[in-house]
Amino acid sequence: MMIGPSLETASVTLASLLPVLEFNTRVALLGAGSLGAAAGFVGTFLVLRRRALIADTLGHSTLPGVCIAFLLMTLFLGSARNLPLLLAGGTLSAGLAAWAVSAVARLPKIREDAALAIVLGAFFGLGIALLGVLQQLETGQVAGLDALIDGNVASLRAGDAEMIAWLSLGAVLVTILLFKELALLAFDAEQARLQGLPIRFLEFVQLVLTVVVTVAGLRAVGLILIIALLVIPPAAARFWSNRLPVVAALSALIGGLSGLMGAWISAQRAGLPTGPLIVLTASAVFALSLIFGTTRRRRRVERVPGVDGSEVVSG
Amino acid sequence: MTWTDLDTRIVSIAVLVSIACALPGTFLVLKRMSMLTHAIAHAVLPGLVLAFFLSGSLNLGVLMLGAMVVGVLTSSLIQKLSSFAKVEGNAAIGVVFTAMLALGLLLLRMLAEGIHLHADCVIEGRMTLAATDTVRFAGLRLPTVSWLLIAVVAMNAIAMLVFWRPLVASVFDPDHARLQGLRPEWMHQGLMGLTAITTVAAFEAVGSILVVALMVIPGATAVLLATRLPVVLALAVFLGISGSAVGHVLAVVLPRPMAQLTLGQELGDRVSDTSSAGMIAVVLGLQFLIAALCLRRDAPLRRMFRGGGAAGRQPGVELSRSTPASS
Repeated sequence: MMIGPSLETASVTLASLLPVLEFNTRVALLGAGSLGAAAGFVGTFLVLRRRALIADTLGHSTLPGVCIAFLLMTLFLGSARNLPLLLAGGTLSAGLAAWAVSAVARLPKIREDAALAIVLGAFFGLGIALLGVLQQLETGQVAGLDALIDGNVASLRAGDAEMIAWLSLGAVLVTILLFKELALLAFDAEQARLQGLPIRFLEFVQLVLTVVVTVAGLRAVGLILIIALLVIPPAAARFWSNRLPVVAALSALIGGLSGLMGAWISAQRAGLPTGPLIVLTASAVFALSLIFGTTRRRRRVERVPGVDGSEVVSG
Repeated sequence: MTWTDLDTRIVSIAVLVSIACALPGTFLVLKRMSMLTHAIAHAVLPGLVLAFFLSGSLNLGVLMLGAMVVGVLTSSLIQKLSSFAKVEGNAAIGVVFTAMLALGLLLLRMLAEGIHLHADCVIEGRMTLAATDTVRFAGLRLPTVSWLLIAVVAMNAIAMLVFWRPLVASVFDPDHARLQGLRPEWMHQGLMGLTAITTVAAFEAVGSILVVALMVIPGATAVLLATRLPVVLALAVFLGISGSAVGHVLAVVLPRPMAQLTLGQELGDRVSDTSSAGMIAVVLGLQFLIAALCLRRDAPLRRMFRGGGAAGRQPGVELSRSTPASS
């Protein structure tokens, strides 16, 4: 992916909006915060459709693609320090995994849970096998791959943070544009079909959005924990409201703040892992919402969603 | 390749794990709870780290105890979140296991820096390490993990034999089972307990990727190929065993020639072998792929496994559902 000069100026502008901190910290906060907000927003619809765990399979499935991209770059470019190309590899294999999940789930007697586990096991296994080979090549750059598995924003470059921010912004914008359609799909797919909405296309868009957020998040939280950013903020936001626009906005807020907090804490001392800290911040918000949240105490009867999908089906 | 004693031990561990996993794994597939084992395998990390930190040793017994406590806690926490707090089931799994895993990773970084308990081991397993740590018992010298796994296999097999009827009834028709006084809820809890213990034992041996692969993939492949539950279980065990053996051999044999072919002689020579756990998962995935392709109407394997065998079927034991395979 090419990042033009105009985007680079924009990155400097964006980074300078943040409070006066060290440049590296600002870059890390920009990446982690925008990613968290986008993941929370996009994840809301995933959780509503009860497909939260597909994010886990997609995250794990990026590994073989990342490894192959690494191998190709080592062979042809001599260096594998190009994050966009690594992420492009991850995108391809996550996309393939998404297709595999839907193909497997269409088989007789196999449901989506099994399809997710099968694809996850096979893809991640392949990734680990490839990684085992890469580690023996001794090119000295495999350490860069660890940042994608564990997540580490401390060494994030400004251009890469910028890319994460733009990907996040893109995912949020597409979700806002298709808000009504995605909401109706989540609440009542049958109704959506009757209204003539392109269901397959919307499902495809949702998968693409999930893949984009997942891949953008590899560098910040790592491929094992990325599902957390798509699931925990919506689940926490759900304790505070029954209205979808509120839940989605709150979820984006929780995700964004968790990203900022986690990245900020991990910048305080060398060796503090970013991904786990971001996830633990979000988990703390979830725990507080579970205890103090306002919606679950008065258990409501499930409501039929309005045509505009503004009612959240409880449970 | 030269087959060494170590290879035998690694394969024997993988084989034991596949037998242990196939039994609860097949039921998980049928109950549509496949991702639970993946969640438990990740969530036990803080238990492992804390047990290690508190006991100050890598004693397998202590680690297992810590992990099992956390494993059972995790599965009950997921259930509580979805039943009392009304968090949707999949989301509850996602919330709980990632939070626990994040806690475990943070503890690992802060407490156990530089010690054997490394994050890579957790993900990829320590099959080689596990295979070298042996204990003599009853006149036989086997890896410590093997003894543990033998105990888990025995536990699973006995539980299946004793509770076969209520277990099967609770999987296929909980309402009918309840009417017959077979207590499907107890069977569900029991299965969760077996899953947690098996996951932790298997995880100790082969790491978290292979746990999900070995639990779910052989069972799913067997469900595709066979109809009667005893046949499905036997097939799942067989697929797990064969996949483990083939996977390990490929992990030793395949990488160097492949690397030489694609990367050239000089780089390729640096490569010796790769993760057995990873390759076993890949082979299990290929088994599933082949089975799925064999399901095509004209495939000969399909007739072999799915045709005939109508005599002596027990009601309720068949895996037929509302959507038959032929549709």
